[in-house]
Amino acid sequence: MLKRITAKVSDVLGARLKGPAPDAHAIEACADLRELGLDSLGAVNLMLSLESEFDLFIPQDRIKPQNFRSVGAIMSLMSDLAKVA
Amino acid sequence: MTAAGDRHVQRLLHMLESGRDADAPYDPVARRNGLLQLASLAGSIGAPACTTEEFSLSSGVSGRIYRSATSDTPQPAMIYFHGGGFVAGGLDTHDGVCRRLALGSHRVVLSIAYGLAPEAVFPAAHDDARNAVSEIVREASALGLDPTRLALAGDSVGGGLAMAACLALATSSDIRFDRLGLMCPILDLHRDSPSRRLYGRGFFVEMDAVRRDFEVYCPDQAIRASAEASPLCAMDLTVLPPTIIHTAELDPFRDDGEDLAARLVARGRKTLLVRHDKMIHYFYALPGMIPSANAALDEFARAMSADPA
Repeated sequence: MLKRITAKVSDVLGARLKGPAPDAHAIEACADLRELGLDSLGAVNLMLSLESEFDLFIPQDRIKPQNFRSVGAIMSLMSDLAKVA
Repeated sequence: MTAAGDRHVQRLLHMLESGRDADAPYDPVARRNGLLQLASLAGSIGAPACTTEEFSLSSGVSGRIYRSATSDTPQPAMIYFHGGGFVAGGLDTHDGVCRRLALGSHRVVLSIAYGLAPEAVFPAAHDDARNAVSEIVREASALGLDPTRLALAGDSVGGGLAMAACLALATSSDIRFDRLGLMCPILDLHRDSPSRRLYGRGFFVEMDAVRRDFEVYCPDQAIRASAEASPLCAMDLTVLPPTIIHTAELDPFRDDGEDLAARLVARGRKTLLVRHDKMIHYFYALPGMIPSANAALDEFARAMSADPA
């Protein structure tokens, strides 16, 4: 799951940046994604990508900045949602 | 404030809010890439199958033609200009929109890839639009189009480009169109309005960023306030064909379209205004997130070919 999450984060950040996408392996689990260039439109794209990748629906009460601040936070959220699903 | 939208709109706005960073720098190229990615994730759900073909015009402008059916007889057509604040958007972000319009209007749709800022600044997009329209009209027969049934249409700033081209060609040529279609149009790059104040923050398009888009495309404030850049400032609207205008309740640019409709009606022009309640700017292009997008496009498409009221 971690690899798939990191790949999606890399895709979204790569689309937001002028340069090459950051290497998925180089994104630390605790790195603040806003500092890596994630903005509001990027956050929407990331959430939609994750929903598609894991075939799940992120409930509105889980759409909080802290749940998408880092790969680690996303990992925790996806794990929770996968258990419910 | 977001409680005003329908539940799908509320969810999108909630997602945007969760990623908001007050310190994020303005970056039009990043916005361009982000919009393209959003379109790939949420923009083509249920898009009908069409025959498509890329084309290049002698003016250097390229585009994509959509045909929903084959025919041996000249077909009515709609020349379409995408939105994106002059810095973003393109053939791919609006591919689903154009497919839906081609099927629903029974017109051939020609989507135009005008130049984007900051690489291309005013009047580049306006010139591209006008030149593309002129050439398509000249080549109508070769393209299998009925020259007496040509419409112009666009969304957001593309609506403004469509209207500006319509006005410019009406005064400088004998080219006429049978419809003008404007989906959530931005028709003025300078004005303030109640809807811009009410919905300028937290409703998908942020006025601060859009003002920067306008400045990047058209740095001269006096030109932004001119009728050439802001067709809502045009004095004579009587040259416009029957006009279909769709607006969204929670769109900062709602007043642009509705003020135009009021002016046209006051001058006795055939005008159809539809407001989509609880919707935001660009909702029509996101059927993957906002299911009513397709119904709105279908209604817009039908009106582009119906007898004008």
